[in-house]
Amino acid sequence: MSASMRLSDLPLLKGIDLQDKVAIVTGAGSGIGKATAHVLAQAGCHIVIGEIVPESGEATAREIEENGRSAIAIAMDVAIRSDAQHLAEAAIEQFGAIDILANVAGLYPSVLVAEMSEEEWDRVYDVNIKGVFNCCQAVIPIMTAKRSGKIVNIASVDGMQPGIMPGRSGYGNSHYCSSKGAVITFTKCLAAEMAPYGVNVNAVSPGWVATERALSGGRFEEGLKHVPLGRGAQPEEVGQIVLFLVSGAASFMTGENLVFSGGCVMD
Amino acid sequence: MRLRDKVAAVTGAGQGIGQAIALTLAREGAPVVVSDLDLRLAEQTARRIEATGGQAVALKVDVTSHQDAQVLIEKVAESFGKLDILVNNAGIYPSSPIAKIREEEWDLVMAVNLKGVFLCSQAAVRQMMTYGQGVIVNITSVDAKMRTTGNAHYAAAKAGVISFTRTLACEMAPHGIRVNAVSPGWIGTETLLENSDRWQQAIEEIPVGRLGKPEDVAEAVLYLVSDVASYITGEVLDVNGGMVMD
Repeated sequence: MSASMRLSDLPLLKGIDLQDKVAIVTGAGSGIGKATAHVLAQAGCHIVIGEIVPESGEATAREIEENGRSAIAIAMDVAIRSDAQHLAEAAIEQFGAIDILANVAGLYPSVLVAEMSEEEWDRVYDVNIKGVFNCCQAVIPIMTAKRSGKIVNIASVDGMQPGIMPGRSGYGNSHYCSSKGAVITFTKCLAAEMAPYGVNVNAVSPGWVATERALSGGRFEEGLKHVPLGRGAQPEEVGQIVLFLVSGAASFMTGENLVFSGGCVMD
Repeated sequence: MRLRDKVAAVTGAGQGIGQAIALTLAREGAPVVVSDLDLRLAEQTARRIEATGGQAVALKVDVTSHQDAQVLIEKVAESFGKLDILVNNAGIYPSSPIAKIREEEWDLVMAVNLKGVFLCSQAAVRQMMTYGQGVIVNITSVDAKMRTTGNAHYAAAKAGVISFTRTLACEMAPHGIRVNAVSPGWIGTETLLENSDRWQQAIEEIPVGRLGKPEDVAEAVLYLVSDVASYITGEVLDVNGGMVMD
């Protein structure tokens, strides 16, 4: 039996078309979140930004509008459940739908386990994994009712294996790593639960990404020594992978953790 | 007697896998601080250890409490001296689909299964670092690695335990402390058999054709805490009858 698609039906060959899809992007005030918002906007999406730093969220929205696309910014903290609820409501109120959720908001401070305060553990966990839970739960009723939707969670290769810095006892990011490991598995569970409703849920695990924050951390150059491709990713490249995952080209992919690390982690 | 005079602390050791671990370590000569949220159950385990000629004390410990984690480590020092082995076994596994998980349930599952591992490990390593030696084993779960439905919070927390294990292993290696995990599959504990109607179906998917026994997990823990495993750190040892191979 041979059943094949016509080349002219393949979405990436036709061109990715997300015209008028509504995408919520958290953490879109900077870095990967901002780049993802811009990429999805370029592909035709209306963008709803959730960002804890109001000025930066608004700046991203303005830039998107200046490029001829539409965006609103909501000041919110993904760790607060009512904020996540409100973000989803704002998307419906402004644009009438929620088609895409990209959970990008995240923290990555650095402190060794022996020295870490309980408050720091709690804060990183609240943003990085509970925040994903909060935002997913806020959009699930809308996506299941519509029987379609795409969710992408930004995890990290650190959730799979911690970086080993030569001569040192680690990056001091056990809370970050464990929260990202949790994001990867949560993604798989959500994918299994949402599959009957036609909703795809995937994760991207980036390695070294050349965001302003990462570049100013003092370890980027050392880290690049472990990257076979010899460079960090541009934030827009991560945004492009998110674009792939929310497009028709990836409609058979769900529960996947897509590693994007320049060969730093191969798993 | 592979662990003669190595002092161990085990959380959630009042029943099930934790109890089996405590009994097994004691069988090999380790004095054990048996801790559990339920003091009565912890005392039962401690008495069983003493009945077979081992040494044990029981302690009520809520792993979600920073103070209790501290008290656990102090109790070890007070009862038996230097802490050599910590096994983070305490865990809960309620079942809810994601759309229905209430915030309180999410928070509790994360607190017991993941934050508890952090709190107890932190208290332990601060001691172990002063001696330049020690071993920690964290009990994770096959659910951390595979898609499941109905327990995303538990699965996510257990995945977090794996990542935490690896990161802690990196941080502790220069201090002579090894950190590993055991990932049990479907283990026929009383709690599982009472609460789950899925176990009959599960056996169909297990290559070796049976549920695991708590002792299967305990023997894996024993291996990882012994000196013969001194080149192993940051490892996750699956004990799941072939249910997931990775």
